[in-house]
Amino acid sequence: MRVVLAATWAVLRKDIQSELRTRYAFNALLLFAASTAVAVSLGVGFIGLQRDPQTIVIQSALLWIALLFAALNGLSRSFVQEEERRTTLALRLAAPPTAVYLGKLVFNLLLLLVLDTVTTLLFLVFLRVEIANPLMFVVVLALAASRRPPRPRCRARGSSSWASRPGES
Amino acid sequence: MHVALSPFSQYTMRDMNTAHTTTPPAAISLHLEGIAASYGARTVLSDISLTLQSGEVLIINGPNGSGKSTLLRLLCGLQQPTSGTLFYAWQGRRYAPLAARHLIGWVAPDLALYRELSGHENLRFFASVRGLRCTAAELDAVLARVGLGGRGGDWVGAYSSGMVQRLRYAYALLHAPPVLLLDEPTITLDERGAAVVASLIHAQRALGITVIATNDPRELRFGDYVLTLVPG
Repeated sequence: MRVVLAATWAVLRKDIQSELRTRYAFNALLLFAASTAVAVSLGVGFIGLQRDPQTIVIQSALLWIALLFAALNGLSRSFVQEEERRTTLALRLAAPPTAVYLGKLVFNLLLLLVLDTVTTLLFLVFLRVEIANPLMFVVVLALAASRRPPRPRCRARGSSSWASRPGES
Repeated sequence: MHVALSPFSQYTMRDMNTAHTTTPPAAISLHLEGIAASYGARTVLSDISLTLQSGEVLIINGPNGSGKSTLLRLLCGLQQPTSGTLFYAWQGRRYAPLAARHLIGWVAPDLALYRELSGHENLRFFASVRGLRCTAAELDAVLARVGLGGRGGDWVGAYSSGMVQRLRYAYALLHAPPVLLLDEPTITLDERGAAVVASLIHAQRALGITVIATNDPRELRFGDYVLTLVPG
């Protein structure tokens, strides 16, 4: 168990180090988040000027849709990157599979937290969203970022359940 | 498909190597029984059976597409055989190849390391995931052994192809494995690099088994046995 934990930490540390040097996943996520926020802002920017309940629902839905698609776009990258660079073989021969999975899971969760933060800030700026309960909003965002089920089927189900709670944003 | 396994006694190098071989400390053996491998409908390997003991070196040769690299991938568990049995016997236990990760060092053109990390960082990472605690001096010693002394701090992306090949050896030797699997061992290496490889193969005789897949006739001298693969 100690070996697996140490290997997990090594995988996580390596992924962070690689990401800081290449910005492979972060740049893609940032580009998606920024372009989505700008596009939504240009398309429905006038919504931000209104403050009726229906507008708040639409703003919330748009935010969760942006988060969902940005996450789907970026989550697989840490695995895909290993395949594209053909480092998978070296990793498979050296590391316990559980450690690789756990290390990349934690890395993806951290990446999602950053993505949540950036996307939300962009939406706050471009759509002039007002947050009724900031503390609850942060908690919901953190929970959304930490909800990364192993199978896409669960991911879709979980995302729709969060998206159906517009009142929390 | 024709498979021929022949003793390699006609080469004087065998006697020379045997003379240098002391009693192997790790009594490991490799067993293949009726191994076959296919890619879809195309059979690449069929009915390969052999046993290799500690201190022995097996050369696998044959033309392109005859299955040399495939056989090496089977030996390290990166690919599963279509049929047959393959295991390592070590310390009274049998290990399937993928369960024998800690026993195997693999060098191949397919083996890529992290270009955005330095050679030193690559080795530190792979040592960590293997559960090894290596000091910086120990990592430097491994790098020096493969001729990369003083270049461990450079990013792998800035390495030449020959230096990358040397780093692959450092990766493979990091945990002092009793099984060394080498696919085209001297590819992209200069003469000094090839000499380093020769010394590593020679040293491996004291540790365990070496299997080499090659088309270079100069590398036949490393082996005790030659397994010739002929596409059928």
